[in-house]
Amino acid sequence: MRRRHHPTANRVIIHVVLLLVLALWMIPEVYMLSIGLRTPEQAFDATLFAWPLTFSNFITVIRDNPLPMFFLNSLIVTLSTVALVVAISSLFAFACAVLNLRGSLTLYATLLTTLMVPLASLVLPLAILLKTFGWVNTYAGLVFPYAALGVPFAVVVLKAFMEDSPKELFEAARVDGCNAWQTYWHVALPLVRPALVFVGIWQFISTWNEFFLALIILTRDEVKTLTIVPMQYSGLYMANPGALFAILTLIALPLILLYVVVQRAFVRGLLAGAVKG
Amino acid sequence: MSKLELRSVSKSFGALEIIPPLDLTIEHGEFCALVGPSGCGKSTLLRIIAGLEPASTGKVLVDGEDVTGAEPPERGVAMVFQSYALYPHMNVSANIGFGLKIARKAADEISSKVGEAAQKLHLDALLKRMPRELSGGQRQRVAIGRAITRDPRIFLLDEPLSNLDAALRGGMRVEIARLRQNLDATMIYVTHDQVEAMTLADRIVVMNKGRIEQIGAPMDLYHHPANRFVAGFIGSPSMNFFTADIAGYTTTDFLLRLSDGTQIVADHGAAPLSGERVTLGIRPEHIEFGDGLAEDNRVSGTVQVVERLGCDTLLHVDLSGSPMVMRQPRDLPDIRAGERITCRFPTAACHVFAS
Repeated sequence: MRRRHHPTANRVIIHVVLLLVLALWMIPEVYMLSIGLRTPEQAFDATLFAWPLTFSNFITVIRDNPLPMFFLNSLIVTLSTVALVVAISSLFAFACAVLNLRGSLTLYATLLTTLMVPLASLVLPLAILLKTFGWVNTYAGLVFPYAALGVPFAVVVLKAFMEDSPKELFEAARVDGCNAWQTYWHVALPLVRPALVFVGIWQFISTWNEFFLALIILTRDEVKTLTIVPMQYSGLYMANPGALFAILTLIALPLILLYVVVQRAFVRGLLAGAVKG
Repeated sequence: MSKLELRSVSKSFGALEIIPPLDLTIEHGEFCALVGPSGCGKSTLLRIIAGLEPASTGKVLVDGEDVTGAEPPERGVAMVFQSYALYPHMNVSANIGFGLKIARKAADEISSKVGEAAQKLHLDALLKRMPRELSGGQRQRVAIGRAITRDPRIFLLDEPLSNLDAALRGGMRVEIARLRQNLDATMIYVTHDQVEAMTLADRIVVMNKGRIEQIGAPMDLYHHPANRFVAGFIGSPSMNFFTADIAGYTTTDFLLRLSDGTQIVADHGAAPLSGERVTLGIRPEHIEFGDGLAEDNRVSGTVQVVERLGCDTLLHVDLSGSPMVMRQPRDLPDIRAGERITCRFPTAACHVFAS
């Protein structure tokens, strides 16, 4: 005999479990904010919250640094990278999935191998290459490597979406007189819009947060991005954890806001195509 | 309106030959239906005509002009797809006018043509709706509207009604027939539904395994099928077939012996048949039943199932081990399953095919 479950009780249990998991997941973020709001004496107290709260760390980092300039630099680098990645990867995916161009699958397979190379192993050759190009301390020195590293993953996502799109729509576009470019622009891109949003947000987050290459390539303040700023509050002989976590909070805020705004589109992009519509 | 000619057109995928070389001419203003079972190559042939699929060999000519390598718009074709293929991100108006927009027509011309098509297809009130907000029949009408706005020389329809339910299909069939009268266009219609082909087409091309089995007017195919495949495919319910031996000839008739020994006199058919073993075919609606049956060509069997359709009654009969369906245009309240009945095959309604 089957046991009967009370639906309300089940729902409560599920919600409690989900809340617990969420709380666990949120600890690093809450801790980051909490340390940013502590005095230097309380910085390493082994509690999640310490009283009284102080905003002095936030005032320090805002006063010490030209944050609007760093923010603008981050925004320029990130938006340029996102635009490049979305444009290149969607065109590449269209060529592979819709046009079935000769050799495109070999190119695709080759491109995929680059997903397996860790960034750390690329930094030295990249630094030499960028120095040769004269791209050290320029936006281009970050944008092009970021775009090159971001394109393979974006192509995987967009190619899968385009392959899942009904082929008749592309054929209907041909019958309606579209050339390849018009089919891409008027039919393929709108069809994979959820995937484009997903790829765009994903690339935005990873570019905004990138630190390693930015640290190597950017030395002049005028072009520095936000992620380099925390370095100055963490040295071998000196540390200001309150300021460090305050600036980390400030860096994370735009991303959190962005995610809140586009969360629906992001999740739809993750799930679209999972079930037949 | 345009004339379409296919000359030795074939299609192979690697070593697999889907369509052996075939010739077909479709005249100006003709409504031609390509029919056949799933996988017989009819849709592939339509795609070759549309320019969506390259032919492996042969030529496609429109009004005498070789368009074998041309893109669909250069051929002057428009196509309605089985799945409608409406652009999901465009509203009805944008879907219908898309081809004109791509052809860089002026906005007022697009708007007037869209309005004209919408009026013809009763879509006036739906122009701002998105495809997801439409019913199956409305979507189909939008797909047709998209095709007609471009004033195509040839209008291709790939199983346009197969995704609709039976009631809607009947309604849309009438609409397509009406549209055809208004458009006066050359139309090629692919379907596996012989009822659609019979009711809409001027001429039917019956295909099987990539080959053309017979071309002819609907009633011509119904009354004079060239072979057993066409006879079985055209007509619903399908023609009954029995294995028989030729027991004798006259100048006009065959004398056939069925497996249970019953002797049937059948019309000679078009050509003499070689060999003794043949197939006798008779349509369910041509079998005589009831009082006053003539003495010749009588057969007896046991009723297995009775299907009462209102105006018609279908009797499924076991004829000494061979299944047979007969259709009577009346109610037969006294007939029950298990009953033994006698009926008659009129000589003129019997078809004889090579086994």
